Amino acid sequence: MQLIDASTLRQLAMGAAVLSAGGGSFPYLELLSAQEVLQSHAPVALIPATQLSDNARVALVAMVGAPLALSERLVDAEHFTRPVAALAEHLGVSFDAVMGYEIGSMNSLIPAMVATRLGLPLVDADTLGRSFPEIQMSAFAIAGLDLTPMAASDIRPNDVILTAAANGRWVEGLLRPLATTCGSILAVCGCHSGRQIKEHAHLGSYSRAIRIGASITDAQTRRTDPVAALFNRERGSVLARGKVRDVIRNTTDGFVRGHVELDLGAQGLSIVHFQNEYTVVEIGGRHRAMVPDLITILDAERGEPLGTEALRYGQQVVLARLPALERHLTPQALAAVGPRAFGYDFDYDSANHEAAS
Amino acid sequence: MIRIGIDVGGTNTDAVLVDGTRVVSSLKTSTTEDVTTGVQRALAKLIENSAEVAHAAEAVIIGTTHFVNAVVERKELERVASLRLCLPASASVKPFSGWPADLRDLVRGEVVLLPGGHEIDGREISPFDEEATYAAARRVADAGIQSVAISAAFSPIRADHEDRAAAIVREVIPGARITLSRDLGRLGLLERENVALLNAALGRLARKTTAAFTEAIRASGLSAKLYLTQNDGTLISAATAERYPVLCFASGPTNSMRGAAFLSGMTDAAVVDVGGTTSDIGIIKNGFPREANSVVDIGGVRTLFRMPDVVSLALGGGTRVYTDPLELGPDSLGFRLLEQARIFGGSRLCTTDVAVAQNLIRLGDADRVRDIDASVIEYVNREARVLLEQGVDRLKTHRADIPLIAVGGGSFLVPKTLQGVSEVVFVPHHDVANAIGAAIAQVSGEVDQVFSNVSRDEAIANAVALARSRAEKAGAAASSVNVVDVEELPLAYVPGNSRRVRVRVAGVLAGV
Repeated sequence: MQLIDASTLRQLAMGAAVLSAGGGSFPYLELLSAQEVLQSHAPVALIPATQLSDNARVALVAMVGAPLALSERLVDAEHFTRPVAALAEHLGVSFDAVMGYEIGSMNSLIPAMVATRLGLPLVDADTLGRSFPEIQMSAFAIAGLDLTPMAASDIRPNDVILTAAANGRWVEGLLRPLATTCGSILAVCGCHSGRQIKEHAHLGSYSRAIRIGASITDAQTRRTDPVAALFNRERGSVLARGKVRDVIRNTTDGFVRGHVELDLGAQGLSIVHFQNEYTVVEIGGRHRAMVPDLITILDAERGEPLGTEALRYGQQVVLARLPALERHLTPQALAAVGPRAFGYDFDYDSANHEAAS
Repeated sequence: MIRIGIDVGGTNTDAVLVDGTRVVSSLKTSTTEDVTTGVQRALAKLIENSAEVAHAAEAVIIGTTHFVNAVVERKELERVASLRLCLPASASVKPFSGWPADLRDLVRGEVVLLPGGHEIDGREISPFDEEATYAAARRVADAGIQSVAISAAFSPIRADHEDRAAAIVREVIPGARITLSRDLGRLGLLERENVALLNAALGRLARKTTAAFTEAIRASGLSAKLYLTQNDGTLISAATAERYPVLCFASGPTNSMRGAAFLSGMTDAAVVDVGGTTSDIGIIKNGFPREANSVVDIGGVRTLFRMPDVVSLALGGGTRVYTDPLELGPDSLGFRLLEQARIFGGSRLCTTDVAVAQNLIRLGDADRVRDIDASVIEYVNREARVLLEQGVDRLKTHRADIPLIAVGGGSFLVPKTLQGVSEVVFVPHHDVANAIGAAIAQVSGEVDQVFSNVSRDEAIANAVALARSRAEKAGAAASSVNVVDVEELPLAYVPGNSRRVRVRVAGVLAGV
């Protein structure tokens, strides 16, 4: 049985940064916070979703708001357990386990610290399988599951229960202004059954993140090549090695859109587009990867994943692709997370790169 | 104005006597264990070389790595109390989180979290709690701690809670040395707080050091005033350095950059300072070092404050050269260069030996390096070239070639041409560029403030006026003050058309 202990947390943080696909860098403050919780609580178990009974009640938690706010109002385990208690009281139930909505970046560590704080097992699954910018891209929304009731808590004693929402888009629309009112950090919690999770969630997300992170952190400790170590264990491949030549960023309606140009030497030029996360890779004018492929840019030396905000001219980087999750390749899922969902006028095409098996 | 510039490095203490823009005298001595003996010796030699001019000096400006070394070596640090205003938020990551255990055990005293601090939009997280703050101050007093660091969430946007807490601490502990996080750091509570904690831990050492420097000047019979150089390449009074020793952390590289700018007459270029063990590369923009915009690690502690953007490479005059298999460094002979290098009768091959073998420099006994194989020379040249090219490249913000000014005792290692570099510039007095940078240091004034309900132009004009008055108060001649840097950041979600404006101005030191 895998325990969520201090070394696992570090691996998880590193792996979650890879799975954030450029949406975030290494979640340092959240890791410190999770380790702090471990000082006074026993490590909890990471359990496979298959261990959940159909009727098990699982608390799904996440942070909604602006990452900048978290650089001053540091993430607090106590705060993120509040909506769990509020929802339990509203439903008149107690929870059997904790899970995360999103395995990418800080939102992977927050459920781990909540689970540890509450002494509940952490379910090895999430609803996005990586990072995506919007709630309607979650497997639950794609499957048409009702995301409500949801509880949202401020750091002060302000709790809100959202009892109904028309769809995933509305959940997003209702929570955003609430987050702004509460200092741009909102702790949220929803409730789903063991059966819903087994049928619709992305299973094994945590063990995958821990495995990816461990291959990088182990190689760093042994001073071997972290990128080689990563692809010894994971499917996927290095698309190119090169140097950041230019980064163009624009902020529109809450998104950071833009692209980065990589100088690949003899191989020419690569352009990697992003919308919060990396979306499309072009090399020599041809598409070499696209959402929902997981595109990552790693520091060539340290192997650390670089978020779009951390890209700077002159960095030596490795551009890599982990194949899309099979679950993201159904027509229904591609409509929500494929290139067209990000505004591109072409369809997902796996012909140019190895098939995702 | 006649000024003396001194740079106290890890190995050498360099000194120059400058009259206006003319270098009258320069010298190198070795750094001493107690730092001040080396300074005193350097002053004595300058007086010996040119007594008349030296005695007319109005300012002695010292750049020292003493404070940052104290943190790195865990020496002479004092115990610090930490008050943080943030509750009910930010409680789970406490002050000193993420510090190396040895440093934390030396420095951590009372830690108290208090209600207060602000939100991203300037509203209070919770109201300031006078009673709780008094109780915290009494706890600190009971623990016998004199040095206190105060931080508050979003204090760079709203500082009033830090100010109110400081007033209470001062009332309860008369004579307490207080560091406010907003005086030093940027957004990022933990990193800004870390800067304040390090600053507070250096309080006693800073007082001792500035007193010793003052004494060294007095003992030399000079009547000059003492200044120290700070991280942006400008100078601060001894009194300011005593309060904010962290501002002196990066004096070494910044003084080299300022010196290189002065000696070359260039204002925009890359600068490489090749010492015995490392090469530091930085960028000058408008004649001043470009600042880093990211986290800087100091002795294992994450910090975020005004520091120059510097890349350090393991390439210096003492870097070892191995022949079987061929390898360059990364270790260096360091200060043992003078006994262990081949040209000085030793048996260890280093980069200086290789430079002598190809007549790049005349030094020691060239006969002792005639047997070095051409393939070794070629290898070392190629490796040094690659290191330097990559180093310069990492600091560039755009593709175009830029000039590179080479200074420092080991600058003979820099090739005459480099890829990505438009020209490599060598300058006279390059081996004391850092002391010259200290001697010509200007006085700066900075403002970093949120302006609301005024136009963009008005906000910037107000900030510039305030920065000018600060520079003049710090000793700048009013007519010489120029704007170095303006940065403007509109704040989303904040009512009243608010913007954060950062302005830095600098001018020459007015005659005393």
